[in-house]
Amino acid sequence: MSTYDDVERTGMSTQDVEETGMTERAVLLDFPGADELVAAGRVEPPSAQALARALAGIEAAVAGQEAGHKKGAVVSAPLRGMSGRRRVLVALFTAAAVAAGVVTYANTGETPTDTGTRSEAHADTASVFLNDISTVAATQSVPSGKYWKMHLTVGDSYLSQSMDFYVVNDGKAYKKGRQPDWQLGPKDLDWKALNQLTTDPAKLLQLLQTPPRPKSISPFDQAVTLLGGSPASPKLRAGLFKAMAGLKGVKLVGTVKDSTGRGGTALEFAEAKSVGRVIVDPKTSSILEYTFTWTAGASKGKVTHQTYLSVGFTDKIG
Amino acid sequence: MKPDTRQHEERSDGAPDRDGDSDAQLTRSAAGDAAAFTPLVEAYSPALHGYFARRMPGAADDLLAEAWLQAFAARRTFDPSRGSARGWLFGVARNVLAQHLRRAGRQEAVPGREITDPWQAVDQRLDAAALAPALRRALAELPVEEREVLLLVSWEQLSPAEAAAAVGIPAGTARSRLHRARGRLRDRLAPTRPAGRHLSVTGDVA
Repeated sequence: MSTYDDVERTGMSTQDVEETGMTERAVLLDFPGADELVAAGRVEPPSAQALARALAGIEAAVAGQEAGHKKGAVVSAPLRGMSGRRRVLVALFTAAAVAAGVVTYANTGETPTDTGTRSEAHADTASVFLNDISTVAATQSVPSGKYWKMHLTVGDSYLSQSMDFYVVNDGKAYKKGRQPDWQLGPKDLDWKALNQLTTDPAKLLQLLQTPPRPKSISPFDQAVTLLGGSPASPKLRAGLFKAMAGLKGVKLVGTVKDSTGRGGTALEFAEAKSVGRVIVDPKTSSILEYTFTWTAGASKGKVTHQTYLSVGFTDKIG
Repeated sequence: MKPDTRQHEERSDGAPDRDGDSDAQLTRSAAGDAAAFTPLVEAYSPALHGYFARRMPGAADDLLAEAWLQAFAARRTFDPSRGSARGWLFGVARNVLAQHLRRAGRQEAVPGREITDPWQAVDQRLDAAALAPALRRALAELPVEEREVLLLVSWEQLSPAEAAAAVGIPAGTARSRLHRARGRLRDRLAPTRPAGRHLSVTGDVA
């Protein structure tokens, strides 16, 4: 990969220079102060986070496409003979659709035929997305505070460093006892243990893949719980996203909206009788919503949401 | 209009021998192989980000992500017989910037009025770079259309054909705009000299 800003332009053949004494580019920019102007255009290359975000967005769109999502109107403009004006209109329409969070994909000729390789392709795009979002997660600022606050659609809660759990009702805080430790494979982690936990993706994956204990939640759910509902550091979150990239069965669904209308990228993990879906904000790596759906058995069709409006550190309750 | 393949052959800068690949990737992604699109993001993000960073420094990251989504959604409008992937991608970027400027200026989005000029931000950049006041003034006085092509060529290092594709005009028009812009700058800045003789002629970014 190259950046135009730090690679010297050598686009003109030396022959040109010999024949005319000037490169083509120099001819194009033959006016007083051209060098000064070019120098004034120098910019820093994009940050890793900006690149990861752009990639994550496209991977989600590609995944949505490959999954054959056909939401919204079909934008498929004829290519030739379209006037500049019409092209602008199409672009504006597309922009409006994107702005509204509606993913529009043309679906001509997109019918999946090679169903055999489809799930593999999904696993791949999911891991690429997770690796990218890991980069986003790593670059979030390092926070601190006495309490971990979770602002959910159902209400606010606070967790102290000693794992005391508080809920706020009508402006009053109520202590609700001790929050259970977070589960990670064979480990039960409190706040302190979380801070001492490895951030190495390979080790985290190993923990996640440890054979389940009785009543264990899925490795996907374990990771998501830590990512969304715990004061895990940016480095640990980055490690967890990367570890998830190594989990078998995680699928990238594509760009979706959560129950409050916020757009994000959805990942799914199916178990025998249920499917867990998480929506990640590709800009920040924040978990927006977790949805658990029973797909078989007595509770089939039952859905529960956990919608994270915001989470973060604070020094006081209320 | 004939495709200007010569420009591609001469290029040995950022995405040198890859321009042909990029066209193919974009075409393939439009034909149904959506995953063929992803390598384009890696290849062109630095250039597109630069475009936004020069014109809308505070929003470059957002605009880059937005430009890629729009490029992906509109990938079927790419026609390799009409120009390179690069020119086309800059055209998408230009639209995204224009939308952003319209929103920011709360102007009415008037379809057909294509030029939305980021001059204010550009001028601030020139000011910050301590560009000679005479040059800055001369640039400010250029017609918007001419200045846009000039900046696409000098900053984005596009060929005139690519700049034309980005702006949505014929290549000849881009060349003549560039020609006129050069003429105006020479007139203003070096009226007594024979054009171009005393100047440093390398366009390279040192």
